[in-house]
Amino acid sequence: MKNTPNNEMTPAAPTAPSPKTDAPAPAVEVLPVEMERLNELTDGNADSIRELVDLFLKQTAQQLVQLEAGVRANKADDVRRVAHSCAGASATLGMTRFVPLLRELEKQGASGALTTAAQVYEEAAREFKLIQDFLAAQLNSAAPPPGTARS
Amino acid sequence: MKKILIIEDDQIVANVYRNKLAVEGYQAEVALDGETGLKKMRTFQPDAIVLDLMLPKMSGVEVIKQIRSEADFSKLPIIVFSNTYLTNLIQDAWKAGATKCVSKINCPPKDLLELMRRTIGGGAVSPARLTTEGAPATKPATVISEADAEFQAELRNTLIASLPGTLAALRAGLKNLIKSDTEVARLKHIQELYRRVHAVNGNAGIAGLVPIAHLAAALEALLKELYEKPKNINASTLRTVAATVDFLGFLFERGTQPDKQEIPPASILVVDDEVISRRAIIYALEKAQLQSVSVENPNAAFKLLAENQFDLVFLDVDMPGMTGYELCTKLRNLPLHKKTPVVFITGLSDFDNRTSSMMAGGNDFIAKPFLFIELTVKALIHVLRGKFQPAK
Repeated sequence: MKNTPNNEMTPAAPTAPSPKTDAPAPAVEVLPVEMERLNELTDGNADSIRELVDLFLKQTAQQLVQLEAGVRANKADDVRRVAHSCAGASATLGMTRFVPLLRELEKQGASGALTTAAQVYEEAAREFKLIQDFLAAQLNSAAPPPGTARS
Repeated sequence: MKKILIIEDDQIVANVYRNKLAVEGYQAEVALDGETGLKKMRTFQPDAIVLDLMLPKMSGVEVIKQIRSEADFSKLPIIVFSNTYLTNLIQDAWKAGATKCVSKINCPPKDLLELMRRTIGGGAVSPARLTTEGAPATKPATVISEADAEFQAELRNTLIASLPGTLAALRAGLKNLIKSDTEVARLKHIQELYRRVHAVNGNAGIAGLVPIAHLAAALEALLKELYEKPKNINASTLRTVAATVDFLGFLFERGTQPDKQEIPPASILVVDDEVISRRAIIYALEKAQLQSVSVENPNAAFKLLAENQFDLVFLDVDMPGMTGYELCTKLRNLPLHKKTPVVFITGLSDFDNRTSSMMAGGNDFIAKPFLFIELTVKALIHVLRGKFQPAK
């Protein structure tokens, strides 16, 4: 939505449709990604969502490699720093279940004692896979039909 | 005579518009809620509807959907008044069939009149307002008639006279919110405060008190978000609400002069080593049409600060090479930035520990992950304070 000089507003670009599901989700289920935040940050523009998701997935995949290396080498400060950065981006985009795991890694890194960091890392890596699958399903449901050019 | 139905829950705003339209040759009627508006539409048979989106009970979007579902009114022009910070709601209004959406932040009666003339014609057209083609002038402010100016000044003075009472009511509402100890009570008080702030936005908008209307609109959007998503009610967001009410009081005193009704341009620096966080901050600033420069490297940021004036700086705390606190301490030694407001962006766990922030010379902080609109509100406060505070 934009303001024109005379104070009237114009409609924004088409928004991404909601994902199609076969059955209603249980009321208490916490999804891997709060799509509302992603939608808000991109004003619901499907291309912007795709671009932001690509950026997040690439960045986070690299950070998980660094985290794994840090945990294996017992480099607590590296773990703290990378987990902190990854948690910030993930929280910004509404990765609700992923963030607490990263915060735990950050906490253990800050304390200098990576006591259960290996298990927490494994859990975070599994959760990241779920996020990838979830976002892929979202983006596919928002994709235009085959043969349709995207502007 | 063309007929206009105004559906608006604020009696003062509705009456001001109705009277102005009547004086200018339209027949205007008012409905104070959506259901009444729909009933009145069927009997009054208006040529256009002016609709506030933020109505109690039946929402403005529901009203539009209902209007569009009735064959007799499927093409009826619907002019929607809304809050520019509620982008999703505005998109819903477009989808439902709104004809035009107009920001409440700055919509004095003369602007509504021009809009009506363009949309449905009619009214007693003043030649001074039209171009040779008969189309409305693109800058009506430059050809505003003396009568309009007097009317606007009277409106402004009436509103200014009511501001002390408004502030007292806002403060009482805030006090109730802060004191409330259950979620039910908290939500009730957020809703009450929301309604009051909504009224401030509407009243300031018609009186042309742009900075007040702007800040009230942003606070209204924040309160709406807190009401709809109570999990976001925390120490950070409540503190932001309190600071905004406090700053509205400041603007009520110092932000009403006619020559101070533009939102001044501001230069904002964002320093965060993480690209997605930077993007979120920039997005939140753009909500208020605030432009920013962003950098990921604190050393590069320091160089920029040494060479340029900024009105506001957002600093991530945990950055490699130099923390946000260290950068803040350094920038306070720069002649250009002894007083520049600095807002730290920090993890929620750090929120209670204000000491490091204050020791480093910071002015404010916001918890990560922040609500976009919360950051928008904070930025507006700091930018407007800088512009309205007399130089020391």
